[in-house]
Amino acid sequence: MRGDIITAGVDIGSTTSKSLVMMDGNILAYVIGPSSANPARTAGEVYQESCKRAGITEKDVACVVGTGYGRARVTFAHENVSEISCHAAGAYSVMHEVRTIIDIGGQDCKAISLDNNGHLKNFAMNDKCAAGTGRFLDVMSRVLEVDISELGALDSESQRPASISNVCSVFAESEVINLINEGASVPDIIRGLHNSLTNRVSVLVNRVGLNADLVVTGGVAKNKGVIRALSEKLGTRITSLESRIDPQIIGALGAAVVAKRKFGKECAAEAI
Amino acid sequence: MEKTNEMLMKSFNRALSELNNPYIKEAQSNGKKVIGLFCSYIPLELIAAGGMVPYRLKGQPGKDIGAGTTYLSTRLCTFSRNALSLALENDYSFLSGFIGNNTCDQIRRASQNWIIKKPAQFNHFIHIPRVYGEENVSFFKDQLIELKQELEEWSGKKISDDDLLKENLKYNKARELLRKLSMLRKYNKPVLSGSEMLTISAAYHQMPVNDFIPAAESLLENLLKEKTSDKGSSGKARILLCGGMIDEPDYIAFIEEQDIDVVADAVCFGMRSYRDDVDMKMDPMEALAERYLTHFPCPHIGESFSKRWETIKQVYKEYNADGIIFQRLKFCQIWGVDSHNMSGECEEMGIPLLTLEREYGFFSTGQLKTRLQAFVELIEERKEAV
Amino acid sequence: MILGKERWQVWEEAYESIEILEDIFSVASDDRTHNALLKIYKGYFHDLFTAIDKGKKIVYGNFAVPGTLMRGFDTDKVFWYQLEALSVIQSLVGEPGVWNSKLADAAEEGGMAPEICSVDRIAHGSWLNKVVPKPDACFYLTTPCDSQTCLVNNMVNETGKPTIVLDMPYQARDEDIRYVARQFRVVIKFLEDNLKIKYDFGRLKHACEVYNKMMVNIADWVELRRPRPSAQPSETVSLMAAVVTVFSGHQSGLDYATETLAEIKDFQSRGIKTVSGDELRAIWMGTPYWTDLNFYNWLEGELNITVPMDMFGYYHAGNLIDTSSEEKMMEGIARNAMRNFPMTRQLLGSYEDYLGDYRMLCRHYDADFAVIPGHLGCTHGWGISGLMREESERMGIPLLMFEFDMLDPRVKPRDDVEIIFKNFVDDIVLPKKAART
Repeated sequence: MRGDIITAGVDIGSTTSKSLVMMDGNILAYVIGPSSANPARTAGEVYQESCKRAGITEKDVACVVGTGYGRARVTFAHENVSEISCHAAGAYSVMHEVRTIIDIGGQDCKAISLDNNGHLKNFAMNDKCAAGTGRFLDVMSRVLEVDISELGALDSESQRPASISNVCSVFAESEVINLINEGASVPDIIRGLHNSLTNRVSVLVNRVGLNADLVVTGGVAKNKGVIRALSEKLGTRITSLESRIDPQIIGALGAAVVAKRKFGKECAAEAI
Repeated sequence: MEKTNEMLMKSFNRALSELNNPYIKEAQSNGKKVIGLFCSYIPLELIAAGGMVPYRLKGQPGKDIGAGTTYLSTRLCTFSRNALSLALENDYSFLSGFIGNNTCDQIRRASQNWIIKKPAQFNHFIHIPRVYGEENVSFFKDQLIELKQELEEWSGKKISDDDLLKENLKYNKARELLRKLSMLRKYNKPVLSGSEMLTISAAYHQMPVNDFIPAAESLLENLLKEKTSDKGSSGKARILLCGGMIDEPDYIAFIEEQDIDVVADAVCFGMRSYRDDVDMKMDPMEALAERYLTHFPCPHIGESFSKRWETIKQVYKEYNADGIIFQRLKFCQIWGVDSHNMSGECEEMGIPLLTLEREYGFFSTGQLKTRLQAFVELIEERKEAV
Repeated sequence: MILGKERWQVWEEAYESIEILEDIFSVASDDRTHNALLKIYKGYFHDLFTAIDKGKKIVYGNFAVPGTLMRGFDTDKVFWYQLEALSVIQSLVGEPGVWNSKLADAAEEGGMAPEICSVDRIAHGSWLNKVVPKPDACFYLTTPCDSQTCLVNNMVNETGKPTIVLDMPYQARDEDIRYVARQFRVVIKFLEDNLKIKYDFGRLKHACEVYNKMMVNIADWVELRRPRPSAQPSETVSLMAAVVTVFSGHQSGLDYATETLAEIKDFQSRGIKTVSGDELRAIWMGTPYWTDLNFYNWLEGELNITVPMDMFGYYHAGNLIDTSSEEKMMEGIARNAMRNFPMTRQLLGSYEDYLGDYRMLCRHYDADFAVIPGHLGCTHGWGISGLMREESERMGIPLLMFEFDMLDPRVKPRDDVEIIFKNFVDDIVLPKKAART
C-alpha cells in the first residue's frame, strides 16, 4: 500500500447521503444511503460502511472531503468543498471531454460549465423552487402512485404525451390530478412531466452556455425519460455516464478527487 | 484592530440602530424637521439648505410585510413592501415630510400608496427623468425648483443660493470622506470590511450631515494612524458588489464569512451615492440637477449601461477585485433586465460573475453559502489556471 | 413565402395563419373587424418585407412611440419597426404561445430575470434569436414601465446603433407636454442626422389628419359600445390597442377604425346580441387576454360575460391634433402620447388617472363587475391593486383579480382561468345581481 494514496468523498445531499473511497484514481467502494435529520451521524455511518466495503480502516484514508448540503456537518472531513466544484471534478475525472454538467438533485438543480482543463467556468442554480428538481418528480410519482424508479420506463410507453403547462410544481400537481380525472394515461402524464421539468432545466443550461459534451449527474440522471426529454429539448446527444459509473455518486467521487488534489497540500501538512 | 473598529463604528451603528435613531431624535428636539425620501436621485443638499434633515428611507429586516403586501401584492419587491409596511404601521410617523419619486415602478407605487394612506405633513412627488440629456437636466432643474418652492412655502423659510452653496460644500466634504474611507479597502488586507463600509455609507443617509462629518473624520484619522502601510494579505477573494438596493450590512457580513472580502461596491446606498460631487462653480440649483441626474447611474435610466459599466470596470480595477457579485431583489425589474448586459460584459472580459437573487432582509443561508463557496472555488481555480 | 421569398420561420407561420384566417373570415362578409384586421396586418408584413428587400432604413421603436410622429419620414425610405410587433402579431394570429414562449426563454437564457414582463422578454428574445430586422437607428420612450425602459439598455448595447431615448414625465400638465414636444424636435434632428433623410412636416400634417379621422371614428365607436345588449364581440375591444399602436397616422389605422365602427352600427341595426342570456358586463382594467383571443368568445358563450370596454380600447376624441403649425402638431402628438395612449395614460404617472378611468369606465359602461387581469410582470399594475380593491368597494362593484400572462400561456393555462371566472360569477356576481333585483 505504500505510495498509494487513499482518499474519500462524503456527499450529504438533501435526500441521499453518499460516501466513496478511492485509491490512486480507482474507486474501491461506495455507499448510497438515505439522508436523515442527523446529517453528522449519517455521514459517519455511510463513511464507515464505505471503508468497510473497501476493506480498509478509516486510518488508511489520507484525506476526506465533505460536500453537499450537509458538508459542514461532515465533522471528520479535512475540508469541505461546494457540491458544484465536486460535481465538476467528479464528472471530469470520469470523462475528460465533458464541458457541461447538469446535476439534478433532490432539492436543487445546477448547470455547470467547464473549460478545456476541467476548471470550473460558470454555474447556475435554480432559485428556491422545486420546478426543476428531483423533488418535483418525487411529488408527482406519489400523486400517480408509481415508484420513482419506474418513471423512466413508463415514459417510453407514452403514446400521446400530455401537456403540462404550469411551471410551478404546486400548480402542476393540480394539473396532473386534472389529467388523471380526464383519463390521460399514466405514461402520457409522466412524459408530460419530464418535458415540463426539462423546460426549466434547459434555461439554466443555456445560461451557462450549452456545450455539446454534456453529462447529467445526480439521482435524476438515472431516469431515462428525463435524459430523453433533455436531449430533445437541448437538441444534443447526452453522454450517459451510467455505463461507467452510478451518476448519483459523482458528487462523492468529485469530493474524493478534490481530496486527492488537496492531499499534496493541506492534508499532508496535517498528517505530519 | 477589530475591537478599535467596533468602537469607532459606534456612531454609525447608532444611526442604523433603529428607524428613529438617536441623531434624528436629537435633531427633532432641536426643532428640525425630518424629510423621508426613497432614492439616490433626490438632492439631500436641497433639503438640508431648507434647515431640514434629509432621511433616506430604508426597510427593517424581520418586519412583517403583510400590510405593504396588501397594497402592493406579492409581485413587487420585498423592499418596497417592507418600507410601505413600516409607513402603514406608523413606524415612520416621526417624519414630518415625505418626498416620493418614480425612479422605479415599485418605489413609485409605494410612494403613491404612502401619500394616500399615511400622508405626512408635507408630501411631494418628484419626477426623475429617465434620460440625462441637456433637455432633461434642465427639466429636472425645473422639478427641483418646484420642490424648493413647496418646501419654502411649507416651512416658511426661504432657501437662498448661499444656503445651497453651504450645503453643497458640506455634502461634498462628506462624500470625500466616504471616498477616503472606501479607499482603505484597496489594501491587500482591507482595513475596513464591506459590511462596515455599507454601515458607514448607509448612516450617511440616515443622520444629519453635521453629525456625520465629524464621526467620519475621526474614524478616518484613527484608521490612518493605525494603518500606515499595506502589510500582508487577507488571502480572501476580493469582490465588487453591485446591483440593486441593499441597505443591510448583515447581508454583506454573511458574504464576507465565506472567505470573501467585499472590497468595492456599486450600490445606491454605497459608492453610487458618494462617487460624484456637486460642482461648486455652477449655479447651485443647476449644479444639483446636473450632479443628481448624471451621477453613477441606476439602470432605470435608459441608455445608461455603458456609463455604468465603464464606472464599474474602473472601480473593479482600482480596487484590484477578483470577481463581481451581482445581487438584486426578486421582482426588481430594472436590475433584472440589466443582468443580461452584466453577464455578457463579464464573460467577454473574463470577469467571474455571481448573480444572486434575494429577498429583503432575509438570507436563505444554505443555498447562498453553496453559491458563494463555489464562486470562491471558481475564482481560485481561475487564478491557478493563469 | 412572403413576397415570393423564404422568411424567418416565425413570420412565415404567422403569415400563413393570416392567410388561413382570411379564407375563413372572408366567407362571413359581415365580420368586418376581423377582415379589416387581417388585411392591415397582411399589409404590415408586405411593408416590412418590402422595406428589407429594398434596403429601406429601419428605425426601432418601443410600444408607446407615437406612430404619427414617425410618418413625417418618407415611407418609401424609412420603415418604423416596433420591438413588440412580432410578439403581438404572433399572439393574435399564431398558435397561442408557441413562439412567444420560446423567445421568452431565450431572453431568460441570455441572463434576463424570469419575472420581467414577458412582452419585453419576448422582444429581447426575438432580437437574440435574430428573427427581427436589423435597425439603422433606434428611438425609444421611457414609457410605460421599467422593463421597457431598461430593455433600452440592452438594445443599445447589442444593436450598437445610434439610439435616442425620450423621457416621458410623471405628469401631463401643459409644461410637461411642451417638454415632450421639445424632445420630439431633438429626436427628429437626431434621426435626420443618422438616417441622412429629411423629415417632412407636410407628410406629418397629412398623418395627423389621418390620425384625427381615425380618432373621431374610434370615439364614435367607443360610445356605441355602451348600449345593452352588446352587439359587437368583446374581443374587438382588446384589438384596438394593437391597431392604434402600430398604425397611428397610417391609412391602415383609419381603415380599421372605419370598418369596426361600421360593423357595430350594422350589428346594432340588425339587433344582433353577443350573448344569449342575461348579459354580465365586465370592465377589463389592464392588459388584454392576447395569448388566446378565443377566451373572450368563451366568456360570452359560456358565462354571458361581455367586455364592453377595457383599458386598451378607450380613447378620447377630445385630444385631436391641431395641425395649424409645426409646434401645435408636436404638442398635439405629445398630448396624445401622454393622455390618450393606453398604459402610458393610466400606469406611467399618478394613481389618479388609473383610478379615475376605472370609475369612469365602470359607470359609463354600466359594469356588473370589473376584472384586473394580473399580468405577472406588470409591477405598476400590481402596485396599485390594493387601491383598486378599495375603489371597487367604494363603488360597490365586485372585482376579480387573477394572475396570468398576456403572452405566455404556460404561466396560467386557459383552463385554470376559466375555472376562476366561472367560480367568481357563480359565487359573487350572480348572487349580488339577484340581491339587487
